[in-house]
Amino acid sequence: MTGASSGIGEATARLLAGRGWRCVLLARREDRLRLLAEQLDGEAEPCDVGDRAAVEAMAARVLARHPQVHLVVNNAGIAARATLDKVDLDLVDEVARVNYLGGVWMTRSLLPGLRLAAGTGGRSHVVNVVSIAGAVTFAPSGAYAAAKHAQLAFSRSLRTTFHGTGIDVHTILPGYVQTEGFPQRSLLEHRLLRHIVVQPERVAQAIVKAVERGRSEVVVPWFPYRPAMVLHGVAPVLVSRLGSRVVRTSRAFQAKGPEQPAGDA
Amino acid sequence: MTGAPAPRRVAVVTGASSGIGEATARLLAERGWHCVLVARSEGALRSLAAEIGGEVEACDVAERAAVARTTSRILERHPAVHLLVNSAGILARGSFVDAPLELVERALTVNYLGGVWTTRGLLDGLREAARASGRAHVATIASIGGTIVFTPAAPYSASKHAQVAFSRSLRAALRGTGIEVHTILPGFVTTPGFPHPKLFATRLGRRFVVGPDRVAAEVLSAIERGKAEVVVPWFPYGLGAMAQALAPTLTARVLRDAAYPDEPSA
Repeated sequence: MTGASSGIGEATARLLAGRGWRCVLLARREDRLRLLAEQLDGEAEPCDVGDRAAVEAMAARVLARHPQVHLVVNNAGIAARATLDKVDLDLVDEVARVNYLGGVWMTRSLLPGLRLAAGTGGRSHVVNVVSIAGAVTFAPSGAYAAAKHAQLAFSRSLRTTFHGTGIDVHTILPGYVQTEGFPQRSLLEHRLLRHIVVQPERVAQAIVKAVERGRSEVVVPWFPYRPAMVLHGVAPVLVSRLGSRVVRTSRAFQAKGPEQPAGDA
Repeated sequence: MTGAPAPRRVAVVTGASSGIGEATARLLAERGWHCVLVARSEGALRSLAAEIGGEVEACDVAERAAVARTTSRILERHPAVHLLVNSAGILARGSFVDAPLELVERALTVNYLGGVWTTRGLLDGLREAARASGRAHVATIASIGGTIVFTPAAPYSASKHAQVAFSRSLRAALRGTGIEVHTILPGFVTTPGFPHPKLFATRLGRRFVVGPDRVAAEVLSAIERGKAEVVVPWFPYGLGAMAQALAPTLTARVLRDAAYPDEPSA
């Protein structure tokens, strides 16, 4: 479980531990991780998934302890609250590494464990916690949307690549989720829009359900995000145009920049 | 912008040494644009410049510092840049299980980040052109592989997904500034970087493959007519994104099994 120190990652780890899974928890914040590992009788592996060498070293340690890995949850994600004409370029790089490449490196380096677990007629799973911003243009945070688009393509193509091997890949597309990394303050203050924000526990339940029932893609919550995805696929320019309205509104009303759909920090 | 008596409008074209970039530069020069040609191979750029005029800037768009240096040099010579064509792109064949990780990373850098860096580096020039002449343009040569998952070249497809999101988001962010962003989504295009010999060898395959000149013409038409997105050719590729929106898992699987091991362009 990456990004396990808070938000969707923490909620999912708690749910999995309650169902008897032994969780190896990854995140950058070691103190938080150790505390959670103690509570869940799991293991803490402090690791920055945006650093390929660190991911490979972590995977070697984990595989030495656990030759079989039954589930990898690529959940770590960071925000980039600015439009692409303004966003800090170092952040663009970091967001691409953490939100997209990190999941690629994790999956590749833990692949021997996933293969072994799926080997003798068994099953193993990769869950990629993407975001609705991976499927719909989201201009207020263009760098985030771009990294999430890449991650969505990674997740979908990985599923077809593993088809028939016993390794099942699940794509989770949350909308706005209230977490530490993505507090969604302005949305929660809005009379109507606060209803489209969900809690991380809701996403955790969707993840566990996707794994248990073999679902390929899950949008959480289904409404209004899934219809938005379909509409965007059919009429991308029209839907993208709404994005420019969001940019103007958020620039007018907010100094600090807008919130973004989840994928957790 | 059609028919405007333009005193040498300036276009910066990346990936200009071959393929779609070269074809676009040629067409722009023919229509009176002054082209700044950007690519890694200085030799190829020089011989193109000898033919069509313009300037040469040898630069690897995968090097952020080099892009920053090159774009500031261009802005010193041309304070107003009327058009940027982000055409530099590389292939990355294979799946996420077998492609070398270096290639996965390089595809993302060249196909996505390189365009971000070039655009940001030239943004002041684009703003100046929009201020002085009312309009400036960014044309991003993405790929239909940026809207439909294409597993035979999965790292390529993922990098192009990022690039498409970049281009669409940038358009929305710059709306009302006079800088217009156009997303070009070619299907299979035969170029030196993307030869598609297997696809081109069959009669059916040839129907799905276009030449770089066709894409270049669509770039010019998108700019002149203010089109946000162009799929080249629209059939059958335009249908793919719709199919994926409705049935993503099925669409990805069909393409894994049915497609040739050549990949959609740019």
